[in-house]
Parts: sequence; C-alpha cells; structure tokens
Amino acid sequence: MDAVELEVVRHALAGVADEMGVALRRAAYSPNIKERADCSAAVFDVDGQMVAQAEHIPVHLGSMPASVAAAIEAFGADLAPGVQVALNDPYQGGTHLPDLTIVAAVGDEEGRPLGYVANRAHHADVGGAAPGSMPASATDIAMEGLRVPPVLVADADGFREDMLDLIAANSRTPSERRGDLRAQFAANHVGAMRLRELSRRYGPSGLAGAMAAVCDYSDRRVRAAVREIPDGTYSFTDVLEVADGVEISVDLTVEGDEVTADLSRSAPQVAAPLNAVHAVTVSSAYFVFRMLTDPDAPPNAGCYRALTVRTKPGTIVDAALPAPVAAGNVETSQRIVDVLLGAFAQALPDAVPAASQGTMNNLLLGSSTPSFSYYETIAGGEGATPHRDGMSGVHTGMTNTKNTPAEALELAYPLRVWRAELRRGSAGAGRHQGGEGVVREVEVTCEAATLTLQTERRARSPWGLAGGGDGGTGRNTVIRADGTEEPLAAKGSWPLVRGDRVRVETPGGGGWGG
Amino acid sequence: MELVAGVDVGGTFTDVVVLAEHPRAVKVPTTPSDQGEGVVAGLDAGAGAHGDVTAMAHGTTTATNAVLERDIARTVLVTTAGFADLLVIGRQDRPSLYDLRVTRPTPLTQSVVTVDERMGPQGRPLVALTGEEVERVVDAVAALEPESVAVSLLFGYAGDAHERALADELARRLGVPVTRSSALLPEFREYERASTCVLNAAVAPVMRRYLEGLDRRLPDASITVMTSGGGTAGLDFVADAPVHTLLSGPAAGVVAAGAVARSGGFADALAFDMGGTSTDVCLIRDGVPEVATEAEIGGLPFRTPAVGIHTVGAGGGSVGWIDRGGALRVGPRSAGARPGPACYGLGGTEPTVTDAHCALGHLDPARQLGGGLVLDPGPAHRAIAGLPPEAGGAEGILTVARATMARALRRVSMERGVDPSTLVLIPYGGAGPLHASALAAELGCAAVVVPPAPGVLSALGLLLAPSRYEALRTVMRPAEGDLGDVWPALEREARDELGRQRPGAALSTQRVADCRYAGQSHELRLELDEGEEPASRFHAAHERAYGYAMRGEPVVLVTARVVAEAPPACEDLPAGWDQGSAGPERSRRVTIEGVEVEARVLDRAALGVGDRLAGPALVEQSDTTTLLAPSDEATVDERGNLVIRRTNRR
Repeated sequence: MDAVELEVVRHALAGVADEMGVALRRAAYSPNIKERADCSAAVFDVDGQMVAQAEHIPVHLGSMPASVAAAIEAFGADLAPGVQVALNDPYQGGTHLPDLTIVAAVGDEEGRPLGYVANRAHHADVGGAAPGSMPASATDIAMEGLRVPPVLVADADGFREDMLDLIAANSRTPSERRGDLRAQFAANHVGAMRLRELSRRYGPSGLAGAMAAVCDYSDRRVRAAVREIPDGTYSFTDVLEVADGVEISVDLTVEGDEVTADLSRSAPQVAAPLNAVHAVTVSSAYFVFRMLTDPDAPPNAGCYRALTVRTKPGTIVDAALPAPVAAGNVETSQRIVDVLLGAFAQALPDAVPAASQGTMNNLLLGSSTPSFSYYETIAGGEGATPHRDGMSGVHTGMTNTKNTPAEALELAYPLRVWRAELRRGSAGAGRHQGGEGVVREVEVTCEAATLTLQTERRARSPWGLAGGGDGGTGRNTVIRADGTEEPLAAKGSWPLVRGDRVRVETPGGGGWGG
Repeated sequence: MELVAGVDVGGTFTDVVVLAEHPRAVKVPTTPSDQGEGVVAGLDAGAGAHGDVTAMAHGTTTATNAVLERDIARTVLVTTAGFADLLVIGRQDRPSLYDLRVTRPTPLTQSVVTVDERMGPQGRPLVALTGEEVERVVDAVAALEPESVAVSLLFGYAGDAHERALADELARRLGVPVTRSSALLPEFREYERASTCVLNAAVAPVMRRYLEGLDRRLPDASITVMTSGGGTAGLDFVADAPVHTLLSGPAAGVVAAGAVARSGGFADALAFDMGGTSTDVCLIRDGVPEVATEAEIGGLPFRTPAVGIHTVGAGGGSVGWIDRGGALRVGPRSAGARPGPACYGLGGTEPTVTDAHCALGHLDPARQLGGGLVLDPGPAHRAIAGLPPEAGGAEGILTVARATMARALRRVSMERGVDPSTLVLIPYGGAGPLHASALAAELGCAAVVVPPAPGVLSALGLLLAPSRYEALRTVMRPAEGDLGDVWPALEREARDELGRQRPGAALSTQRVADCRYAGQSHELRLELDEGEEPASRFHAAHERAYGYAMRGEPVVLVTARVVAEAPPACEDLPAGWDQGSAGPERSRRVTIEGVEVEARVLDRAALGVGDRLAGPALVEQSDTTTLLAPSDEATVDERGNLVIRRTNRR
C-alpha cells in the first residue's frame, strides 16, 4: 500500500469509528454519555485486532479489544455477521460493571466476515448496593451490581427484547438504560453499514489488507519513537492508600524497539473496590505509552505491538474473582499511570512529567427523600513537565470528564456550592511548577443525605521530578452547621444533615527541576 | 438613489459586492492596522465613490483578530466570592488526552475581584450585597486601572439586582465599558457565561474605536454588521456586544451558500469554503445554515448564536510531507501568504495543494493573480519532485487533501443524521471549486452548485442576511401548561431593540424554546407557533433528531428565546452578474483524477443562462477556477449558478 492509499484508508477507517461515536452520543439518553462523553467506539478486523477507535476516555483504550476477544472466545463461529453480544463482566472482557460493551460481527452482502464493530458506554446505574453502582463498602463484586458475561443480544432476526428487559430491570433507572442501549445498537448499525461500504470500495481482501496496513503504519511510527528511548531496565514503586498501603511496582525493560512493563511484583488484591482487572492495567499502561511515544499515531492495535504488559493473577493490578473492582477503574488506574511514568522518567528525563494529582476525587451525595444522586469527579493539579508548568484545576491521567456547573447543580439537587476555586499553595515547587489543586465546598440543603468519598493521595504526595517539589496531599473535611470542622477519611460513607458542608481539597501536581 | 454594498474583510483581501442593475464584485487589499481604510477603498472601486453608498452590510474580523492576537483591552472580571478561578478551571477538562504539548489557553484576564454576595437559584439573595461592599469592590477594580470591566455573578441571570448595583457604580466611577452578564447573556452555566462576558469586555474598546472610525468615514450610509449567527445588527448594538461578531466572516459565507442552494432549487446542502490555510464546512437545511448556541475562539467558549461551522486544517497553502510511518500527510502546516506555495515564486520550496493543481495544469500560468502574482509551474514541479516517489506526486497530494475534507463533510452531516448523498455541495473561497467535483463524487452528493462569484460569496451573504435580534431568558420549569407570562416581555424586548436598529422596517418575531427531558443535559431548539406548548413539539423533535421519544417523561423548558427579524437588503440571490468580458475559448493538457486529457478552458463570463458544458473542462474567473472531470456535465441555471453533475459517461 503506497503513502497516499495509506492516508486515505486511515481517514476512511477512522471515519467509521467517528460516525459510530457521533451516533452513540446523538442517540444516548443519559447526561453521562451525551455531555461527559463517557463512551468509546471502535472497529476490529476478523481476528479481533483493533483498527480504529473514536477516543474519548483513556481508560477505554486498551480494554475494548479485551471485550471483543471475550465475545469471540465465548461464541466462536456463532458470532456470525448480524449477531451482537453484550457484556460488562470485568472478569470476561469488561472493566467495571457500569461500562457496558456491545460487540457486533459484520459481514458483506454474501455473508463473508469483514470484522467487528464495538462500542462501550458508562451506564449511570446497573444495580448493586448503592446508586451509581460504585459502593465504597463492597467486599465482593456481587455487591457492585449486575454482572453480564458475554450474552447474545441480537441476531439476524433483531434484538432480544428479553435481554434488554433483564438489564433494565436490574437498574434503578430502567428507562434510561433502554435509551442508552438502543443508542449502542444504533451506533453498531452505523458502523456495520460503513464497513460494508468500504468493503464494496476495496473488496473484502482489499479491506483486510487496508486494516493490516494502518496497524503496521501505527506500529512503525511508535517503534520509531521507542528506538529513541535508551535501552535498560527501570523500576518504580508507588503506593495505594488502602489500609497500611498497597504497593504497585513495575519493572520496565526497553530493548531496541520493544518495551515490557512487568507489574507482577505488585501486592495481592484487597477486599475493597480498588482492585484493577487486567484490562484496566493494560489501559493504564497503553495511556502512558501513547503519551510518551507518538500521541498522534492513529489509535489501533499497531500502537501497542511494541509494548508487552505482564501481571500476576490475584494481585491489585490483575484481580481475580470475587474481588470488587468499581474503583480500580477510577483510582487504581491513576496510580498505575504514576508508576509507569516514574519508571519511564529514568529513561526519558527530558520528556516525562512529574506526578499529577493521581486521583479522581470521587464525590457522591444522595438520599431517598428527596430522591437524588449526585456524582462528580473533581479536578486537581497536573504535574509539571520538563518544558512547562503543570495546568491547575484540570483532569489528568485516565479521565477527562467535565464538572457540573454550580448553577446546574443547585437547580437539580438540594445542594449549594460555596467554593470552587484553586487551592493556593498546593502546587509542587520547581523550575517548572506543578498545577494547583482545587477546593470544592458543597452544602446539604435538605434534611439529610449520605456522603460517599473515594479519594487517594491524602497521605502520600504526588511526587516531583528532577529536584522539583512534591504536590500537596488532598484533604477531606466536613464543616458542621455550627461551624466546627471534622476531618474525613480518604474513603468512606457518612450521614450529613441540613447545613453540613463537605469540603474536598484536591492534590496539587508535582514540580519539575530544582 | 439607493446604493447598497456588502463589504467583507478577510485576512488578505477586502471583498465588495455592489447591488446595481448588474451586481458587481471587486477585491482590494485588506488594511490590517485599520480595516476601515480598505473598506473605503473597496467602496470607491466597487461603487464609484464611497460617499454615494446609502447602506452597507459589513463583515469584520476586528473582534476576531483582537482575541486571536490578544490585542485586547486591560480587563477586570468581577465575580462572586469562592469562584475567583472560574476562568482558569473552566469545565476542568484538558484539550488533548495524550499530547503534553497541548495546554488550555490562558484566560484573557488574570485580574479578578471577588464580591461578598450570593444569589440563590431563584434570584433571591442568600448573602446580601451591602453599600460598603460595593464601594470596596469599585475601589479595588479602580486600583487595577482597567480599560473594560465584566461583571458576572453566580446566578446573576436569575436575579440581576447585585449585578446592576455593581455595574452602575463601576460605570459611573470608572467611565469605561462595563459588560453585565444579566444584560449580555441571562442564561445559566457560570463558566460559559463569564467567558462570554470577558470576551465581550476585552474587545469592546477595540470594537468601539473601529466602529466610530467607520461611522465617521461613511456618515451618510446606514451600516449594519454581520453577527456569528448569520443575522445583521446595528452599530450601537455591536459596539456594546461585540462578542456577537466573533464569527462574522464565516457566517456571511454560509448564509450566501444557503441562498445559492435555494436558488438552485435545493433545500439541503453542504457549504464548502476552502481558503489558503483551512477549510470551513457547514450543513445547510431548508436553505438555512445550522445555528448552534455555543462556539469557541482560540479554545475560549462563548455562548451566542453561531453558525455550525467545522474547520479542518487543510487549504490551498497546506504542505504535503511524508511522516515517520511512511504516510503522505497534507497540513496542518501551511506555507501561508509568505512565502506561499512554491508556484508563487516567492521563495517557497515545499509542495502545497496549490502547487499540485499548478503542476497538473489546473491553474493557468498565464493569468495574473491578485496582487500582481504570476504562477510559475517550475518551482511547483521541483517542490513536488522533492517528495519520495511513493508519495504519488501531485495527484497524491490532492487525493490526501480530499480524504481530509471528505471526512469533515461526512462528519457535519452525520452529526445531524443527514446522509451526504442527499445533499448538494456549494463550493466557494479561492480553492473550493477546484476540488468540488471530485469531492462530490466521493461523497455521492447529488450535484455541485458553483455560485456566479464564488470568490466573494461572503460579501454577497452580507446582503442576503436578515437583521436579527434574539432576546432570551433561562426559565427552567415544566414545558407544559400556561407559559403565557414567559413570552410577552421577551417579545417586547426583541421588537424594541430591532426597531431601534432598523427604524421603520417590517419586523417579524419567532418564539424559540430550548427544551430537554428532565435529567438530560442537552437541549433541543424548537421553533414554536404562538400559543403552542413546547412539550408536544419536543417529543416529535427528539424522535426526529435522536430516533426515539419518551412521551411519558416530563419536559423542561430551559431557555425561552424570541428572535425578531427584519428583511435583508436583498431577498433573493441576484442574477445578471457583471462578469467582465470573455476571452476566446482555448484548451490545455491537464491531468484530472490520474488521467491526462485535453480540457476545454473557458471564461466564466462566456457562459450564459441555459448553456451546457461537458467535462473535461476548466472554467476560469478572476479569483477562482472550476474543474470539471471528464464525466461531468454542467448547466448554467437562471441565477447564473453552474450546476455540475457526474454522469456515467467516460
């Protein structure tokens, strides 16, 4: 394939994923998908290799291929053109239960297989012990909601309504689930149609050749970047703040144009929802690898051929049944990013940023009377890079969702926002300064509500690099109606009453250079 | 006698269209330090003498450039205590997921004064604003010696008492422009509202100076200015609310593209404006460009009506290069105006899209370009020969540029659920008509409609745009039952304001409701008949837009709007253009889509209404060349549009 065809076919395949992503967001019902774009869409070849992806959320990066692999594994030849499979089981191709993926096999008019299209959406509620399906108290996955192993949701005769009923019936918001699921089917429908059009243009073997060519192309670009990384083995350990601390370690080996990230020295899994399944760990490693090699290379399987990720089953980075996993996706993933960056910094001192806030600061407030459930992740400081200061009050690492405006929040919930500003002095010092964290202070204006926090970096700072100072640790506080302040733990649930305010102070980013 | 002109100021040229018995178009160089000089020169060239012009519709990039170049007024933001860093935090997202080089834009001002006060969501004070606090705040602002001030308080849209007290005292004491959020944009979402107000405040002094100069130069002409949403507004309004002009230039082009589509008998179209460094595309439905309620400039969001333009970084000056994965890329780097494409002979050595056209014979080397430029194929050939053989030469560059543009055009239509094969393509800008035929074939578009003067379409659009004013208020209540009290005040405001801008003109109004299902976060814009409940219309609109409706769910009226309009200078696309005199037909060896052929070469002036033309052919006019592939057939319709369709003939 020549240089021109390569560029044309790259746009064509990316266009399929684009259009799927657009269709998904257009048709989705819930704000989480429509506004925060907590969703992804991708195209795969007949072997399940990802050939294009519409990127919104880094944590979906490496985990979409796992979903397709699980669907192929479960159904084999029965996953024929026209058949669609749904799944969310973290132990069979998923990440955490709210992320529901639908995989569709695609064939041409004569039934010859062309590949797969798949899309993933974060569903706001899939049952479990708490609204939002991320209960802080979970000690096994059964408490986190409905587990869907790969199941057949559509065949040549159309959707299986009974499967939609089953998923909807297990959610606190069943009509929203139906709307979002329908949007997911619509997205796969658009993707299948466009893939068939490409097959008409290039012929089935031409299309397969084109898919292979774009992956080879990304692989070449990434390897060109990897060759510039000095060979060697680089190790780094950081700690997750569960009990007395849970270590995550990596031994990173760079050899020519290949990198191996071995995380098998990491600690055993825990009876709290901070376990990451293998796909989440792979996503986190892919994120760092993409950032440090060629961030503009077309996102497909070729981008990660040069990277091998090793883990040991039963550890915090490769959880085994029945470990709960809801926060593995949103908190542990951030620490894996830090660990990988810490190792790469030894190889690439002029490219790697200091640690960012390293948490998503998950804040949930809700009650049954009045009935409401408010969920937010709060920004913090970005680590400084060797070339500039870190950004302040920004989402980093594995998420990029927007905040809820105070003016929207107070209209929707019995809450009042008193502060949403930078946390001065939280940034790590250095030649380039880290970004400042954020202070968010929210008052309960109804009789009573339950507060849940899932936060990290409350005891151990985001680290600086090259002599730069550490960022400030975060802090959680409740201010009672009478003005007394009480510190809150990094993780947990508490009852609040009218007039109580929760104040979340998020970590600053590390500084770079002394 | 009435003498009406549309004047659009672009980066390089100021385009003028004068409505006379035969509409005329002229181009003069833009004068960047004061665009008004070029405007007067253009009117002299187009209308004989600028003093004879009785009405001018104006497209200006004064505000746009001020923001992009940060040539702005020293501005202070006044906001509620606890929210000092609103502009820095924004919506807390980062612009690029993976690329560390890409950062958020620096806010237009770092000077923020916070106020001890707080409105609640219903517009009642939770923390009262005292007289002493007003004094303290005004003193603090004055100490910063601002040239302009923005006042945007939390829930200021719901209750404006605090904002008014502060803004009145600031204006009295400081004597500088004060932008008040409850006047400019009484709509919820504090970051977007504050960002809009600060953008407005930062360009207000610049815009005011420019408009005053223009008014002095043209004292006898009534002047209107194009807004981002595709309507024109009066000078006083624009001086107070210049944020409405940030997309003035592109808006005029798509308004005209809509009129071109309508005149050709087509309802739905894609506007395709290809310039030197970038390409703007926009979906047109029922002859009207899609209008969004939010847009951004240099990464800074603003909420005003704005045409839904999607921009990609590929234009005539975009450079072709081979990346380290071995693919041929075109753009986003551009050769710009200096040195420009290699074929300009100004020292450029890198192969651009324009060089590819030049090398393939699409552009006539003998013809003069604007500014005394003559094309030289020699450097173009040399630049392209500098690429490795697998790059596919000139044809390769065009193929890759086309793939980029096709993806953008697919995207703007798909986002609205429209299949490009049901659309016609309206090419304009210098390079649009060269690419349109092949692009339409790739997208399966029904036809290409090339307007009579594609190089000055934006200037024409200024004359085709209605005067428009939109009054709005965030309402946030169930979209059912009696909403009678919502509309009259908005209707009064809209009629009064537009009446001031266009005294004596016939005014019409339209009610618009932004609605959503309770719990959703995105609104749909609905046009309502008088007395009509938004809810019933909402379900149907949701079904059409998203494929389903939930008739049992409650619907919320988020924002109520009344749009007042007065008729444009020119209701229909003018016909009978003065195209100058035509030279004799000639022919040239050219390569089109990989095939070398002998193409007919005609002047656009040689084509009359009803004429037919089969490709391969090149139709040349002063600033544009239209390319017809061997299997294309074209006709000239009654308005002088060249309508191109691809046949199976080869």
